[in-house]
Amino acid sequence: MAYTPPTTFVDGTNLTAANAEGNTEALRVYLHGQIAAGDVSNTKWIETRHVQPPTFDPIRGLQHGVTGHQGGQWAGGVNIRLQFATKYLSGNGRPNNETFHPFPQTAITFDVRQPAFCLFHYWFELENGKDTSTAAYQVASAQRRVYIVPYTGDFNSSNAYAQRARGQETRNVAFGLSNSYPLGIDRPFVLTGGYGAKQGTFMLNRNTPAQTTFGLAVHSLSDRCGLVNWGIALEAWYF
Amino acid sequence: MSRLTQPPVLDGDDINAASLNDRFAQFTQSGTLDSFNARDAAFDLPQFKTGAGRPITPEMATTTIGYNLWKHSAYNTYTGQSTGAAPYVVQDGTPATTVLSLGAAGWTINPDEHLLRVYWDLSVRPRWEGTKPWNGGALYFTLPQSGGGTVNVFSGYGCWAFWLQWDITSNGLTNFVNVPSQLDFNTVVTGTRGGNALSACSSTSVVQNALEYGDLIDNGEFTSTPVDTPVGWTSVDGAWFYAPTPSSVTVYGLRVVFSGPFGAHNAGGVNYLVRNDSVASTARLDTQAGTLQAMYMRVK
Repeated sequence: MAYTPPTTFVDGTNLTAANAEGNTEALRVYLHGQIAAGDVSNTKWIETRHVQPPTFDPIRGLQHGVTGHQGGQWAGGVNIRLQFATKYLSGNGRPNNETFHPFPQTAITFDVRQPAFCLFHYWFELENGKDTSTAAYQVASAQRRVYIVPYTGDFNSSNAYAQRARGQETRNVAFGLSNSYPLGIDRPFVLTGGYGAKQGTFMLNRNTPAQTTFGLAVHSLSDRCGLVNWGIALEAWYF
Repeated sequence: MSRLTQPPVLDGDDINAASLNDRFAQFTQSGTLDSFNARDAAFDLPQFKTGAGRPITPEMATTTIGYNLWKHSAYNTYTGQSTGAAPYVVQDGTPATTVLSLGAAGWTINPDEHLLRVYWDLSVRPRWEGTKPWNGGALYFTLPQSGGGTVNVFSGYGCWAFWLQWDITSNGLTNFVNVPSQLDFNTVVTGTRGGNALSACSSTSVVQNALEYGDLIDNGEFTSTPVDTPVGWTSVDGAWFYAPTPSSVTVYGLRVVFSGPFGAHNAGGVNYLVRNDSVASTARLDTQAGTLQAMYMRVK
């Protein structure tokens, strides 16, 4: 409803404080969205329906709303998504190689529609080794580490290499495979150094709206690494 | 929405009915300023401020810390510290300390308005000089040995600790102090050994500095010498937040510091991380690179 002053002043009549204040009070109520008592700043009147509703993408696990993107994915549930890393995709264990390969299923692409501060959170749990292969070109067994780095942009090895300072590594498990039944690693990974449970956050100032990708990549100097569990989460706050 | 154009009352103006009516009549217009057009139309990106008035995240900063040679062809090495020592600061290859600057004006974090969030990671390698030197400290359990006697085995609590310091004085970044609820492990806890109660470890992350276990255990008794495994190159990371109270704080810089070796201690129902001065000279920590990142957000 539009504002209508309660009093219309007429020449020759007394100007009273009550009439002037009455008009002002009616104006205050009007400016406060018809809230007769209290005022806008002290009365919570915005309901969920008053804010642009977010959209949810169940495939990528992302919610996109007026303030940005939030969401994530993880490895678990009934369909656990165990992954692997191997030196055969990242340089065959040669000491000077700098090749990275993707950490499968951990990449996420989203549409940044306004400049945003982005936070890519990740955690992983892995078991590295035991790699006892004997080819002469490799690093020594104790140095057969697996590095996991976050990257942004389309996946390629150089994008991952650019983030090598963020690399988190886990050593090759220290002891060997049992050659009698039951076959396999003969000591727990947690006791012999080959277990890595780590996490990190990658902050990015995405000041130009664009399709943006975050993901995890692997450089392995070990022939086998089981990536047992993992999770990624994304925050992108528009500014 | 209309714009009010009525000029203010000035000296010499008549105050009469007409001027008063005009002053109120300017608000009478066909468009309404009510719940519909003030709220039901919803807010979307065009209504949000940019620049300094950013609605959710006013600022963010990130930097590489340490010595960025990821394959460890060279690295920095630090010797264990005793009670009273100032912690080491993460250094580059120079070596010079590496810090995160938050700009000349810093970030002013207000109570009930802002939240400071900090994330970091660092590649490290804990190790020792000599054979089982931790047996000279308080870092082991004594367990029964088959055939009689006992054997010492690393408790699993031995560690290096990493924590955050900030500069809230100026962007000169020469006045770093521990962040709130974080002390420097130099308060004497037992004997002459300094440490922190866990309540004073708000920004602390630790990395174990030895792996030792019994290879052959029979009925709870060791039947062989405990087996040692070097921890090797690994990484440590941390996440910390701060909601200022009761007053604002302006943060100009952040850095990661570290010290060790520490072990567990309990006294009076309080858990502590305490120094192991007697074996500090044999402990080593090699450090490489990582990142230190911060942002602050509005919470209302």
